[in-house]
Amino acid sequence: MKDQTEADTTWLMLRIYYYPQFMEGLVDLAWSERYEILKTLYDKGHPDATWDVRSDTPMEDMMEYVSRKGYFKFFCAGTVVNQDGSFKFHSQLTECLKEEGF
Amino acid sequence: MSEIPKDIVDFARLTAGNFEQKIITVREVFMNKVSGEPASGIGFCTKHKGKALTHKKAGKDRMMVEFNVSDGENTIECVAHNAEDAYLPGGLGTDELTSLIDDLDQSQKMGSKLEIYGNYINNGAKRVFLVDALSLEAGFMHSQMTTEQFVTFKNLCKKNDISPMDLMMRDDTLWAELYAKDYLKKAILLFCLSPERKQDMIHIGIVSSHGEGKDHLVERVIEPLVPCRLVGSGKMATIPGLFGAMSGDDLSCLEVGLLPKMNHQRVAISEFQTWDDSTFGELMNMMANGSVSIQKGNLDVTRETTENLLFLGNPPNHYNEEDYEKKDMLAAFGKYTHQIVSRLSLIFTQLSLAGDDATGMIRNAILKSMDRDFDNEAMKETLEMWRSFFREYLAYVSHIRPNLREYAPRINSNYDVLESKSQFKLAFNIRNKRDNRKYQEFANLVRGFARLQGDDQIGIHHVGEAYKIFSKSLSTLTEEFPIKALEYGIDYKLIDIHTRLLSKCSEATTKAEIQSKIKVSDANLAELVKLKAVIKFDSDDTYLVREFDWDSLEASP
Repeated sequence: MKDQTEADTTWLMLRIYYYPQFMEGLVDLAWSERYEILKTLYDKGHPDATWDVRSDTPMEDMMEYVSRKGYFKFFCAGTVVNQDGSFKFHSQLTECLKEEGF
Repeated sequence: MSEIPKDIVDFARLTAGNFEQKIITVREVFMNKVSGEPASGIGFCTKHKGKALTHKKAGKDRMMVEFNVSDGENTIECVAHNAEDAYLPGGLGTDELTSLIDDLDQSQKMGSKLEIYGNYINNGAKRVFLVDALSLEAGFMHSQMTTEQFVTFKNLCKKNDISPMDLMMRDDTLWAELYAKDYLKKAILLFCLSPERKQDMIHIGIVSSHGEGKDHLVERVIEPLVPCRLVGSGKMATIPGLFGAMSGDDLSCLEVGLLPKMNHQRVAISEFQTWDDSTFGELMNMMANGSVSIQKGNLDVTRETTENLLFLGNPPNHYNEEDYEKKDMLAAFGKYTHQIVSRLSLIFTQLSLAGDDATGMIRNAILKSMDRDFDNEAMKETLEMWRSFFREYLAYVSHIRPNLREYAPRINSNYDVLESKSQFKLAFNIRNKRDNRKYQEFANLVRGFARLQGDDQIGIHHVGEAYKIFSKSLSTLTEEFPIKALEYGIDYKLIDIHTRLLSKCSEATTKAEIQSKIKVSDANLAELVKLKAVIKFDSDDTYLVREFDWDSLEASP
């Protein structure tokens, strides 16, 4: 089995402590705001294949995508984890972080 | 709530049964003043001075040391000497007396506790306690828990898949007598660690409505668990009483105050909003440096005050949420608010500490206390057993010094996230690009959580917990006790909503359209209209969000 790297350890920490806060902040937003953030994060994580407006109802498209894939993909797209274990969030992701049920 | 594994309970009971309970008191000595029976007690040296003995019977070059030992409530006037028995029995050898003076000096300077043994005698016209033996009492800094006991306990926790911190947070161990949210329990446990160096100090502030059980927290949770003194309010807590003052009997010596006495321990300050500005001013150096310098007369001394402070306060009586007169709450720390807030590792400013959903549990705890359920022998024994066990556990783990630098990339990134939040600058009034004090406080929280867990290496959970509690503190500061917004008497949430509205709604639009873009309640929208941050056009029932200078509110009636 592959040894756990520094980056893996950081991802574990982010999944436990930050992702719930991201979710808490995100679902508190109206869908129009949420859409903008999700689109920004998606584009950040996929610079070569940005979120295309697929139809006349992009927000509904996003809702449908989220219902299938969940939010974690967006969280990952807005996060950069370095080999030494340090990490950095996209500013939009940071602003979404909201202290959840403690 | 599941039961605590039996092997852990059995181990804790067996281990705690062997711990000797050390209490700072000289009451026994005080009570033997009349009988003159041998007695012992623990306290602090508040002053000492040497006196030459010139009587022929005393012998050549002999002396007497006069000193006071106090537990904060009673003060014992003590003497020790090296005179011949013909002059006064109970004399010490030269080396013993030298060592005694050294211990007294250390107790006075470092706030170390002393244990004294002896009996009362008449010396001239005075009744004094003649000390046969004196030792520096390391019991409160030094743990009675052995390394073997600590390792066994950790292994038992691992085997049962429960952490030491989880055990300490349970309602059937340390929190039986008070209902509190988890974040508050964690903060109090951090406060219960004993700071060895100034970087270890963890100062906490709690501002909440009256009747939230803050004093109960000190009386029923902290004081039975670890040594902690409660400082009085307003005029009751004088600067000489807190820091020390020149002795009235001898101007060349200093009587130490409460803070130097509690070196390496902790002090809770109740009703801090009643304190004068000047008291906070004197406290600032102590909070940052872990020592106080006193220059008075021909004295120039420094006393160590490496201890944790807990500030407990209320909003003023006239405060109520509806009127948003929160400006007065901000004045709780007086003109040094920002400086004190900067020195607090954590500050929780919530009107309700437990939350509305906890009413049933709080009432249950109150009734249990009133029915004196905790006086029941079995329950009392169990509570005392856990307190005794964890008292020594906390003293033990306070000495663990996990290396932070090895975890620096993650600690730095976590702190960067906190620092980049808009709430951070708002809460701490940061003017510089970086706030190194807050960084140090955050790193100390990381280490604090590692200590509570009894870990000698930093891990993701320590960093994660530090992030969570810091973030919680930040959110209560800005959302529930918004410093900046408070100055304008406005809830920060409302300002936040206005900012978001401004970016999303540039033209006049209907309420339905606004609410489809931004989550805003009718009440908040009405409030913004009232403040004229949003203009309502009655003709077509539309709203226009306008640029609004919140500073202008300050001058408005």
